[in-house]
Amino acid sequence: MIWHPLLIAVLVGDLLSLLLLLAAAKTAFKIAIEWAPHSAASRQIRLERAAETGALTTRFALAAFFVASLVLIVAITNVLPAVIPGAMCGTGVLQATDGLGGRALFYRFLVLGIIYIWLILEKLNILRPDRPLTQRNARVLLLVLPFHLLAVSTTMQAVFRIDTHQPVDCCAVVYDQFRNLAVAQQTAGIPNTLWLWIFWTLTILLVFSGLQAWRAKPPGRVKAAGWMALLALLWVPAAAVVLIKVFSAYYYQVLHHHCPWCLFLSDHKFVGIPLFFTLAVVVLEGPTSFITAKIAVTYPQFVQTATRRSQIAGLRILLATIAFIGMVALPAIFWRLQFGVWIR
Amino acid sequence: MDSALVCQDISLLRRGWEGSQRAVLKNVSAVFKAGQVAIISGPTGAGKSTLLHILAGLLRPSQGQVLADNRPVSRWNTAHRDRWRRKVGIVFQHPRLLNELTVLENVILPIIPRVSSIARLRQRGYEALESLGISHLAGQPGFALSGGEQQRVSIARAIVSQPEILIADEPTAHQDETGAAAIIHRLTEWKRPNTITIIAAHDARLRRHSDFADRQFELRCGGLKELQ
Repeated sequence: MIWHPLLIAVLVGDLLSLLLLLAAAKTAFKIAIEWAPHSAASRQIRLERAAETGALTTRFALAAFFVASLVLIVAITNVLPAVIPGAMCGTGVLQATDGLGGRALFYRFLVLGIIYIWLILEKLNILRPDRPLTQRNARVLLLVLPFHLLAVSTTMQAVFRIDTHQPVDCCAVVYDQFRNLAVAQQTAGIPNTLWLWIFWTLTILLVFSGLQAWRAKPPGRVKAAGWMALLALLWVPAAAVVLIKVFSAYYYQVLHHHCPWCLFLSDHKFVGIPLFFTLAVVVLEGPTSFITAKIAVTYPQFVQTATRRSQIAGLRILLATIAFIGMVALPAIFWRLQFGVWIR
Repeated sequence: MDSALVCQDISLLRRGWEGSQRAVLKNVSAVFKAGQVAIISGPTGAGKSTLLHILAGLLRPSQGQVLADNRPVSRWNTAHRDRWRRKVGIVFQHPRLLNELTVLENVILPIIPRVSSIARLRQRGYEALESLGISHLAGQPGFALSGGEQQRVSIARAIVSQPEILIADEPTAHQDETGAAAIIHRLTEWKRPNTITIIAAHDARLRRHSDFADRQFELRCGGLKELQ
């Protein structure tokens, strides 16, 4: 364990968000079992007031958790490598946590993803005075809680596991993956060139489905948005693979340095931030587009607002995809024009 | 259909010092229709002000609901309730003027977000003050006024936005005969086909004007009864 100010900030933010979420979850549990929108009984009136307070509490919890996650990412990518001996980027830092850091990040992204969906639904919900999505939102909130507990506990374990007297082999983790050149040129048993084809095919399909979803009217929109959400969720892992295994080489300008974390370093102009941000946009807005399209059909009072939100989600996916392609393809094209060869 | 403000089975519980709950209002039901003036009377502490605060959306009842045009406004969340409250003008029992502002500035406060031109704001403020015969006080600070003058300013503040629902709590309480007559005259003028006026009154001068009130209610021990 190191008492680094950033890590203390992360733990404080996590505990604060956990306390707030527990308070909101207590109300959400009552809403999930007792909500009776047509009753004017004192129990329901109290619950309606509590629902409003609970929604506000959840927003604060989300804000605290989001800020804590940002601080954690900054610490992993740009601060802790200077503290942990042998670490040069986030890979070394995560190695110092014995793998718990990676697991903590996974749980954190999962929590942020679910609360993002909650936030989208809540923003729709408050547009109507009768708040028809309150009970559904309460269930989503209850779903977040176990993952939030896991995220906070795993983050704490990871932080406590860091030993600044124990050196790590940062790049060795990256290069040890390759027994030979053939292994270096494939991922999960699939050659990287094939991953590239998968990526481009999915990109074309994603853009096409985005345009379809933009044009479609409810109820046909649900199907189109569903396809777009599915393609977005398939596109993101493919994009991450080609980014790390193929396109990162044009930023690093060395062969087979398959490290996602070095992209966040100042040496590479922090390009990892916009690159992974675009992936986050696609992975969040894909399900958002589908869920809001479904809401527009299930709740007629939301037909306009939910359809509009679904269209905005599609537009964001489209823009994020274009931005990602621009950021990965342009350095490769410049390299090819400059030196006449691809790096592979 | 004419608009109406409906109290549906409203109860309000307050926690006492010893932790027990006391019913301030018990199953109050009433319909206040547009174009009518309703006067609610009753002994001190009967819950008149509390009922007015619930009708104005300032308090949420513990049970039951307030319906405005069949929409349960008392159960709406803050954002929607605040938007609906722009249609309500309130005269509080205590004027609650902001002492740092002049009378005119106090009066135009409710319409600042809704009127873009400053000249138009001032004009509307002057008109409201003029209708109560106190336009000469426009430049005075709030603290320099007597209790009766402050009360008339608070009435001007309530009517400046031309609300659909006017709720007044003891509007003639601190007035002499002339002041009370001016207020009653103004409230009588305010009687319009699309406006609901509800007044809590202790003052016999208000109740004596038989042509003024269309309906009279009595609130006693937390229960509301319409007087014939």
